[in-house]
Amino acid sequence: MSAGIERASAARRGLAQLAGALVLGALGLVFVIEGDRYGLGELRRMGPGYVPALLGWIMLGLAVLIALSAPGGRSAESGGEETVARRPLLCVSAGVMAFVLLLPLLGLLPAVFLCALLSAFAERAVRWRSAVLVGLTAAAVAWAVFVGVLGLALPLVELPL
Amino acid sequence: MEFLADLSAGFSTALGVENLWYCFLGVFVGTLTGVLPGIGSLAALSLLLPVSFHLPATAAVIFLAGVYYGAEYGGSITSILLNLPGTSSSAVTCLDGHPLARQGKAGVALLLTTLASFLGGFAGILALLAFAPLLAQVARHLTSADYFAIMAFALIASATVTRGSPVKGLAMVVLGLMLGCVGIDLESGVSRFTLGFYQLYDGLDLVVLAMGLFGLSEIIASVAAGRSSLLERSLPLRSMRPSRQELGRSLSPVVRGSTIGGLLGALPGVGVTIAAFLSYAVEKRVSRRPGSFGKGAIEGVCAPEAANNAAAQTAFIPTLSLGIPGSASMAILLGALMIHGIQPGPALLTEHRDVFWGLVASFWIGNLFLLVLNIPLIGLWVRLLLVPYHLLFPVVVCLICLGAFALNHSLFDVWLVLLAGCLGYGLRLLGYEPAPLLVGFVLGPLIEENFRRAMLVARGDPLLILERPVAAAFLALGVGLLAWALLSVLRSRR
Repeated sequence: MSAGIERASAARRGLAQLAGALVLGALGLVFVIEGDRYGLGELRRMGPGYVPALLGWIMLGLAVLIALSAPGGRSAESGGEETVARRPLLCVSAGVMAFVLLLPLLGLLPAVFLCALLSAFAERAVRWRSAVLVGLTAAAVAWAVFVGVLGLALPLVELPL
Repeated sequence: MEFLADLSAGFSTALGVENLWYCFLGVFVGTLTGVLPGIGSLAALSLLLPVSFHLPATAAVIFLAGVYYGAEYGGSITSILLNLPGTSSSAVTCLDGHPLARQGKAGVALLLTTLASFLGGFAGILALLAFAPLLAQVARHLTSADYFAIMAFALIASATVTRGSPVKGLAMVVLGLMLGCVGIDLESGVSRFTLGFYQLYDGLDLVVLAMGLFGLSEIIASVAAGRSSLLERSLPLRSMRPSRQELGRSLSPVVRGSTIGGLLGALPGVGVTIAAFLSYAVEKRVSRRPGSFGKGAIEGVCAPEAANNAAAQTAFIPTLSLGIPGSASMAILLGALMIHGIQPGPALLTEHRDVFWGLVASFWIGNLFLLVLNIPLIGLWVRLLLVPYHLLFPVVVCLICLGAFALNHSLFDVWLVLLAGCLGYGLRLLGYEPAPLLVGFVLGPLIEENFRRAMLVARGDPLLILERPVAAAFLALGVGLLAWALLSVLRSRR
């Protein structure tokens, strides 16, 4: 890999680390502000907001430390992976969402089937046939384990009226 | 020698056909449910508690206790094979257990886990028998300040001991503590960070968080990396039996882990999670090859497993003798006892001796069952590794969804799993370790409570904490650990 590309990806990594530190810092800030709103009290009689605010300050400090070491940090140190894997992220999320939306609507088996089906597409080389097969297997396993062994009380299939 | 008479009476109770059967059943069902991703001991116990209502008191508690450590063990199986912890203590097992599995040594890891758990449990039972009254006494002398210091130390240990930068580890601990703040503050009744969701009044659920943070994110990352199967490369599965050298290397970690676990388990609320992390930290410090940790070090699997099993046993000490549950799972066991009209506390050892000793004897038998049951099954679990990943992971996703839903019959929890999964994936991308987050989350409410109480007693003077020897010692250790970690980071940069 040419030095230019390496430097570019290192810069991107540094930027990502910085962004992460910013998010954490923002969260710290939120906790400080909200903590104050909940009532700080004093050290001897702490209000509900004391510990959150304290945590917020600590987080802010840590975020600053992380941000300072972000650029210029060697890649091995910052750790993590290179790029966001969009397809798996989207497909698995879609699967879980399908489960949540369909469970009350269509019952256990269709929800599980679709969850597995959609998740299966996270794999780029997947074919429809194996995805459907996985869906059916998942539904069978789910039924056997949760309804059979654990006795979960859920309608197996519901038809929307 | 009354103790021996009690013990033999206990064994005769435990070896009675009915109780033996329920012990076996409990261990079996416990392991089975523990293996399912996301269904840890807590979920298994909650789901099976109603089943125990119809049983006589001793059988009921023996059954549930069997489910408890069966599920803890089952959770280790998924930690090793799928990098999915069922409980926060199994999060430690993931660190070195999963790399071992990916190197084709899953059989070795599983066998050593089983043995370490058995030995740890055995040591814990011995501690329970010999030291129950003594440990209860010591635990009673510890104040909030001491607990605070011990927990703070545990948090620092978990932040500095896992891979990656200790600063990021600390950030994860703090994030976990923050997530632990969500919910209604018990002292003031103010609802914090619930964003208007009534489902969050009780706070976030540990199992939900763990499933998303570890499970979903692991799946997303693995698919992205193009994992063809759970094995890293297409290695021939090495023999399931560990080499003599590996066995030799496991011995002292198991001993150390059992000691740490046995001692810490007796402290109410603290026990199992801290024991596991602390023994991992100790092993890493003591080891001649600290760099091998996180990549499949046998010591990193044996010691925490021994520790958490020892702690799981000694956790019964405060539960039974003081009526203070050591963990949520203990709380359920306590509930089961009370439903059957048995009030735990000092009275348990006098008025219901048969239950107590029968229980203790059944722990032994239960641990033996675990060993006997699971060793042959290891071959089965390892076969799972050969299933092509693209067929396996969607099923696991569904099991995670169902597991999350089944906990509270709540779809809200499934949404939370999704969010936790995205969070976990984001953390992975940026090189943050999720394990310390879990420890921070579990200890958050506890450490806050102890901190508040300590300050109340000390009338706002933090320096008074240092006057207590135990607290001062642990705080000093914590600061030392922190300094060491930061120094080694600075040194490696130069």
